[in-house]
Amino acid sequence: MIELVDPRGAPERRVLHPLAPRPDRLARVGFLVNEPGRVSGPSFARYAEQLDAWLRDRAGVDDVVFGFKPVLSRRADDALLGRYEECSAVVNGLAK
Amino acid sequence: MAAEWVSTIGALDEWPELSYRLEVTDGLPTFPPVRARVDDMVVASGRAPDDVVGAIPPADRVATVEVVAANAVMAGAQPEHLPVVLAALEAMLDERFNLRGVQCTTHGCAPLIVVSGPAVERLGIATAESVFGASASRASHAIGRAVRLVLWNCGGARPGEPVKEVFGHAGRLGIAIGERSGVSPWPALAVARGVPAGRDAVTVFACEAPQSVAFWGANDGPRERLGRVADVMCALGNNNTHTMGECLVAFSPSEARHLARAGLRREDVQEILYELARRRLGELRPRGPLRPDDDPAYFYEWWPDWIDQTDDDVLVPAVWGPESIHLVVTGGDSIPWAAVCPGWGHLGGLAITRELG
Repeated sequence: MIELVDPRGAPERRVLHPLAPRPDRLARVGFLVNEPGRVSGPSFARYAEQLDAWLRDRAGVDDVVFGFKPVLSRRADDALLGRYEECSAVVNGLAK
Repeated sequence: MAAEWVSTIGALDEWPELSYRLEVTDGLPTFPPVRARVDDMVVASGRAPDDVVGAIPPADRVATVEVVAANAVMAGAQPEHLPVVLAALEAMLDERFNLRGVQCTTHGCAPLIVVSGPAVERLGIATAESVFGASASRASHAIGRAVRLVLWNCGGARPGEPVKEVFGHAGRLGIAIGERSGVSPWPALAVARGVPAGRDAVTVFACEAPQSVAFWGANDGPRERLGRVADVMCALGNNNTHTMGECLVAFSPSEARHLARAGLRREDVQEILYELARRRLGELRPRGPLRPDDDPAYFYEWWPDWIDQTDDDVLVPAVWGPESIHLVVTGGDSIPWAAVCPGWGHLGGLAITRELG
């Protein structure tokens, strides 16, 4: 038999990082929008307004934090990420 | 969903079909990553097989030296090619390269590997005719393919999901070129970027396919000739033209010599190109819904403050500065020619240089 070496590597989480601890409840939820402005902003803003209300009314969330990355393809800077430090969970995405 | 990994095969001719079933190739044929060949490559590198090169985004599977060697064997690389592959990958994992973005963006930027130093000749890296494509250099193709396969297998760079590249270009399949140090009148790119002369280095830069610049009708004056290069650098559809960033310009040896004979150093060429590769704001962002008035809310926040975004006649450079124009002397040494490889703009894929250990 000819032995082969798997070229795919191991999943990072198993090798380098365990999953973050799961929160008991969602006290504060963050939404980090990938890009502000004319293309994505308006539609996500409408969606986010509904999410904000839903999370507060039906999921017991105390606070919702919204923020926008200046440029979608680059990581958020530390100052922006700092706004999410107290969040139980953060959703990063883009709505078009 | 890819099939479960198969750790042994009975005969080598089982590999081609198996590789497609396992989805460990991006479509081109590969060699089987046979344990003995992979081990030979790891040993030759002088590194431990479980040395971590890094988690390759976006799938973030971990590329160890052994895993990289497995992909290099699949690409047809020789053991002496592995240090270049490892250095290129380590450079791509620099945050400024933004590999996650380069892998997934809608833009057609692909990692270009530029090898400098004695390794170019020693390994037989492409430096002459068809340098950006079918150069017939085993080293160039194998190194480029090895990097590409790591990005595919560890990074999970599948078109559609998660890769959103609208068009792409053949360079995405893997591309490595060399600098013609013996015939270039200027210091090599890596030397200009701080690597001591005579040392081996690799520079990675995410860019579009080379856009040809012929010198039809051009007189001998350097500014006239460089103006044609600059014109391609600041094409209205380039990311660079709207967001700046970096750009790579390749000169054929004869054109580089022509410019040098006119007294231009590498730095002079960069300065002139930076001065010439500009567009009027009014062309870039004509008045309309996206810029209805002079309200700063409509300004491009990534442009420097010295650009008056209320002035339609202000000339906006296509790159951040002269040093953001990466000059390479390569290609067939026959007639004067140049090529422009626009970058991804300010978003990433920025040139990163690593000396080979």
